[in-house]
Amino acid sequence: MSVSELSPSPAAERLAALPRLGVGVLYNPSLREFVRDHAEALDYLAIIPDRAWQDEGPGAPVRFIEADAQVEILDRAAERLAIVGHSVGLSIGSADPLDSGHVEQVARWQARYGMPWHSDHLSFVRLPGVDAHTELSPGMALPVPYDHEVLEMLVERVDAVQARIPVPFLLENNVYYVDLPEQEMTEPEFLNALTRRTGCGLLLDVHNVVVNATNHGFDARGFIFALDLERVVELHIAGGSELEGLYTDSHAGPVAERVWELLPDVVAACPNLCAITFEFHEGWYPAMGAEGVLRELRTARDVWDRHHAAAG
Amino acid sequence: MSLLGFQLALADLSASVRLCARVAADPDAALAGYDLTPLERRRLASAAGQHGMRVNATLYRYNRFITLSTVMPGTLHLLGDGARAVVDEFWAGRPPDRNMRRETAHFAALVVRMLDDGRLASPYLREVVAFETARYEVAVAPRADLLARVADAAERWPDGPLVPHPLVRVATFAHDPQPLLTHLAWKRPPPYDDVAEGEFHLLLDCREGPFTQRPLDARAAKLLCDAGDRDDAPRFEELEELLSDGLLVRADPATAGALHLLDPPAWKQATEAALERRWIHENATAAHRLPWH
Repeated sequence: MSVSELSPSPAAERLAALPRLGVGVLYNPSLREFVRDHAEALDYLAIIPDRAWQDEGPGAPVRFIEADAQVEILDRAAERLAIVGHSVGLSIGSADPLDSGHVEQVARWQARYGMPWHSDHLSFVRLPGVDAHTELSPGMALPVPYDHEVLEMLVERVDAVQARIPVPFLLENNVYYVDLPEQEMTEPEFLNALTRRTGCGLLLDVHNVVVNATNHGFDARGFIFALDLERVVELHIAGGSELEGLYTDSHAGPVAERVWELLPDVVAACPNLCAITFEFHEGWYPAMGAEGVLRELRTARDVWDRHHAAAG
Repeated sequence: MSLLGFQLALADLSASVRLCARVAADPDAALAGYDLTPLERRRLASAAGQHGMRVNATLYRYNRFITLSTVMPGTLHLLGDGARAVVDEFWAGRPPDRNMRRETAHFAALVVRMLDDGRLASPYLREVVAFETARYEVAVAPRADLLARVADAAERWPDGPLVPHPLVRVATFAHDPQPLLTHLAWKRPPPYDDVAEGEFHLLLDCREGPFTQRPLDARAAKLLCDAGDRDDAPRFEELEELLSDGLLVRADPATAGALHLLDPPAWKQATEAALERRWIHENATAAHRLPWH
């Protein structure tokens, strides 16, 4: 039975049964020593598996060349911390056949580290080339239009992923800098329909919402509370910066103040929330240092602890 | 499927402010090559005129540039003010490749072609390009897998042909690499008066895990480079030292090059052929696929 065949209630129960991990950080290479020296500050480590391998493409004799040095670091971290996977390469929004090779590789990594769930982005990063062995890349993650045609395509693809990966699969809400007019659904309507139809969970990137709200002039709180928050398993918190007159999701150092403002209410409103992940660009580590990262984690933990204390 | 046409067009727009300007000015003409519904055409025309497309274009350039600067910092430093023109030419001729090794290998090939035809001139550039591509190739090689293959080959073919260990490379320089690479690391502008000319070699080595590099004498460098593909095999005594050091290893007599998992000749040819097909396709269907720039 595929997850989408479950009634909404069992699908929600599946998310409700996930372990409440707490507060973690999305691993980047600048955090190698931090993870070794400050594991006690982390409840888990989120990783981007795709950064630990090189994808040689579907036609290659060995498709995924894993970087042993990266894998060794993650293996050591996994001895002390739970590992959560957050991929960037599935390209679930691509109008091409689902990359089953990538899904298989993700499934191997899920099993390797016993990840309690796995997530990727609701966007496309790959387009088909001239044959099955080539592909084109847009060079960035681009959003899909929130139309019924796209929803049907995504339901099929999410079902296929969930049929192969034995843990809940989450999709992250987009950041986008260009408005596409005449979309058939709003983003919350689309996300709610997708999670309802497939049983998948949500990775709610609060900073992405803040970025979109800032650039496109809507209310971030209203957006978030229009979502089915029972589906939210993980939150991303981050900072941004100005570029070309817009506010961007650049993961520039500390968490944005607007994200901290929203976080307590969001945490309280997500009954199946299991994790709050701080993400930042590795280029900011020299400026933040270990103490800067610890400060962000402590602030997130305060929110997490206050909510759980209040909830009894 | 028109969604695919829409995604191709959106990707092209996001990479090119010039295409955005053309679409904003005359969407029907500029989007004529894409398979689009009227709604998709309206959406793209709207998107092309939005300020956010400038952000997308900047992110596109940043994402592609960060790959090159991560793998080839010395090359970009030596290109100096000319780097932008070289990078622009590279991006105009080839869409992004999510595989960093291929992306940087093709950029390196372009730089070498520009050196060959005299469009670039730097006494250090050719050797630094070769060094940085070799360094990256060996650093990202699948070490555990290759070590297992080396051990397996040694057991199965104890008298098999000798080939360089797949986790080492030889980088050859026409300038002393020690001061040259120090200057590059400190981002000092050329010329470098204290860098001696001559023939120098570095051994790039990931056999033990972390990347290391050390000087290699000319004789050992030649033996390593020639191993596996020379007709007049040198006397064994010449190779014994390299064999005992583990720099040469045994290989399957039938496929002596196959230990190089990333670049066995057949795979390399297949990759090049695939890229060539894509290049031909893109140019042959220019009316449908607007150029990447």
